[in-house]
Amino acid sequence: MAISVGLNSAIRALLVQQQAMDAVAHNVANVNTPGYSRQRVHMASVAPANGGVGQGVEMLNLERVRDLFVDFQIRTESHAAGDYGARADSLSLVELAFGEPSDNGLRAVLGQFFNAWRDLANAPGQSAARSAVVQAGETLAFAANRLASSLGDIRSDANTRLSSSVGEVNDLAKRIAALNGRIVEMRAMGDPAADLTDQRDLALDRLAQLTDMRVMTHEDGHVDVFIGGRALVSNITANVVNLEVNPGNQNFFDLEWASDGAAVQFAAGEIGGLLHQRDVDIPARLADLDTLITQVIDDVNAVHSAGFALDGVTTGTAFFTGTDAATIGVNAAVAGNLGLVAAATDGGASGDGSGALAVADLQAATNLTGGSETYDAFFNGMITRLGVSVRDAQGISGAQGATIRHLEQLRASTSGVNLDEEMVNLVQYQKGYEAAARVIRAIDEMVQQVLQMAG
Amino acid sequence: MSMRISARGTTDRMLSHITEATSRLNETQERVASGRRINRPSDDPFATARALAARTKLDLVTQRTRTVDLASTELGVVESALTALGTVMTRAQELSVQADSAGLDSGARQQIATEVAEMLNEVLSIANTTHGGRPIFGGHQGGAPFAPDLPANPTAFIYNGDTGDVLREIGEGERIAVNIQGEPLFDGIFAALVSFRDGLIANNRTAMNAASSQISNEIDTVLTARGEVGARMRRLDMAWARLEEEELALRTSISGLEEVDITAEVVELQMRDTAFQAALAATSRSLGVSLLDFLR
Repeated sequence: MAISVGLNSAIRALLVQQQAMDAVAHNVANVNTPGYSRQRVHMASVAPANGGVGQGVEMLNLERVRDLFVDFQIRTESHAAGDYGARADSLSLVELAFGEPSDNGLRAVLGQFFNAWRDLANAPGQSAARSAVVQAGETLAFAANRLASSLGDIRSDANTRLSSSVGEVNDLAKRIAALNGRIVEMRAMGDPAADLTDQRDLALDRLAQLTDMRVMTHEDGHVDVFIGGRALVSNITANVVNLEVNPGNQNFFDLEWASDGAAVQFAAGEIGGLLHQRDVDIPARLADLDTLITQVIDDVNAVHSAGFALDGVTTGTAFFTGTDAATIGVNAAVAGNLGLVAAATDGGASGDGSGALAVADLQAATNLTGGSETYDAFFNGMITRLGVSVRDAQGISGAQGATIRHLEQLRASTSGVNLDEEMVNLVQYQKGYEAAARVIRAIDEMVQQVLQMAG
Repeated sequence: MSMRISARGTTDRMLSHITEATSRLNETQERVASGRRINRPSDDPFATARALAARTKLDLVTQRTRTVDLASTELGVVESALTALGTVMTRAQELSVQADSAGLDSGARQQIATEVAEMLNEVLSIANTTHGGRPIFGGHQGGAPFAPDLPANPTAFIYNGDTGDVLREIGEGERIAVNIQGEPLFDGIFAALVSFRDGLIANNRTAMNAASSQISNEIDTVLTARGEVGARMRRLDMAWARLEEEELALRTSISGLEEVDITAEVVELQMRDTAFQAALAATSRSLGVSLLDFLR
């Protein structure tokens, strides 16, 4: 057998051990890189050319250690985490806007309004008591106006966040499409494109938080991404999402496919959650508030119109103007002429407070929810439902977060770099390298001896 | 097979443990510092609803307590007016006995007549008593309820008030009148005093005697009215005591719903603080160990 076979084996061993040490160096360098999957050099023995001893070692491939099923699970859980995270954020703002339990919230000012009428009934002739009723009405109107505008602001905030999230989705789609192209190219040349695949997986993970997308992986290495059954990324093409201002929906954005203008169906993810808050949840809470305030306006005005002003003649005056929480206000005519406050019912003698008591009685009237709830009960119901929604959204988002953290641990246990392990590998490869070098020296000594004999 | 542990996975997990321990510690700290169990509806939605209802009820009870205080004052004013009226009428009764004595001459009776005329003015001023600008015997009307037909020598007094009851709401649907109807109370008194005065001036003992028995009847009317006011004041006292109890119950219920059990919370705070310290200690130990320390 030729000496060169042994030398060749030893040189190959030097190269392969060196490559393995390069992989260790790469892994150690990326110990803190987010999304990095550790790489492993697979070695195999080289079969003999014509029988006998084999020809040493070769590097079979470079493996990117990754569990694809965990990736799938993390992304699926991220849809719900993003969805409920967005809902919880926005609902907390709603909770903050209501500010209950407190002595200054809508509940308190509504109660103070009716108590002001009771105080007026005790002193119908006194302008201070009349003024207090108007003040309490204005405070109530202001609190309702402020709540309505706060809820509107929270919707606008969801809209703003939507536009930035959609921008991020488009960036991610373009990045994934570009990475698709490079990965397919490199894989065609036999390179596993491990680091580019890590980057693409990182982009897909983030996309899974933002949208309820589905990923389809292809043999040549590219992935297609679908949202609501339509392709966001198709191989190297990104079909981006456009924001169209919709004048029919308070100039909020509609989300449309750039290619044909059809609506994008976001069902979950952060964008799904924001859409739900902006278009369903907060409008429903605003509608509840309007139901309450409209009922108060109508009831108070009906009773007040039937009462008599201080002059004993004037009747039929509305106390409130406006139709809902955003527009409620005290009738300027009443605010400007306290005598118009209808405290009386029987021709307006200055000592008659029965009209004021009739308004105060509305507090105990069950005029809401099909005649079953008072204003207070209705409002307390609203607050309870809000509290339950916030708690549930925070609970689900927290539980999803815990699930995802657990899955990430699982992923890290497969793909993450363990420095101790890398150090052991390093020592192992180093020893392999040293041994191969010793083999070369042994062959060299052997050849020297043969040459001396010849000499 | 044991689970692989990656360096990044370890730090992430340690960090998440510390974050969780911190946020749990913060929760308890917020509750202990604020003394409140419910800071927002989501802390306990159903307790919040009950607390809100109790607060509204408490506001109402406070208003009703205010009303009961006012009604007590108002009835007190009516009672003093009736007491003063009773004094005047008792004096009138004494005068009627004195005037009936056979030994009295016309001159002495004229003197008594002058005093009775003065009494009429006094009764008129009692009948027109106001409290907080409101005449207490005029129903709902704001002007002086009684006016003499002839200011110098009145023969009758005209009622300008109405029959309205001045009502104060002291409970749900429970209203109490804080006035006494002026016309039925004072008409007879004025009539009795006018006929007594005229009998004295005319030196007519028959007329004086008739007026005297009228005066006795009117004293009964005044006493009945005082009894009525006394009964209403007892009702107010009961309402006040009931409101007091209700307020205490509501305050207890609100604090039970909204405030923390401070002993339990402080114990919880201790436990969570220990857990936090443990998480920190565990982290500092785990992060310090590496094979690199041993490979030289």
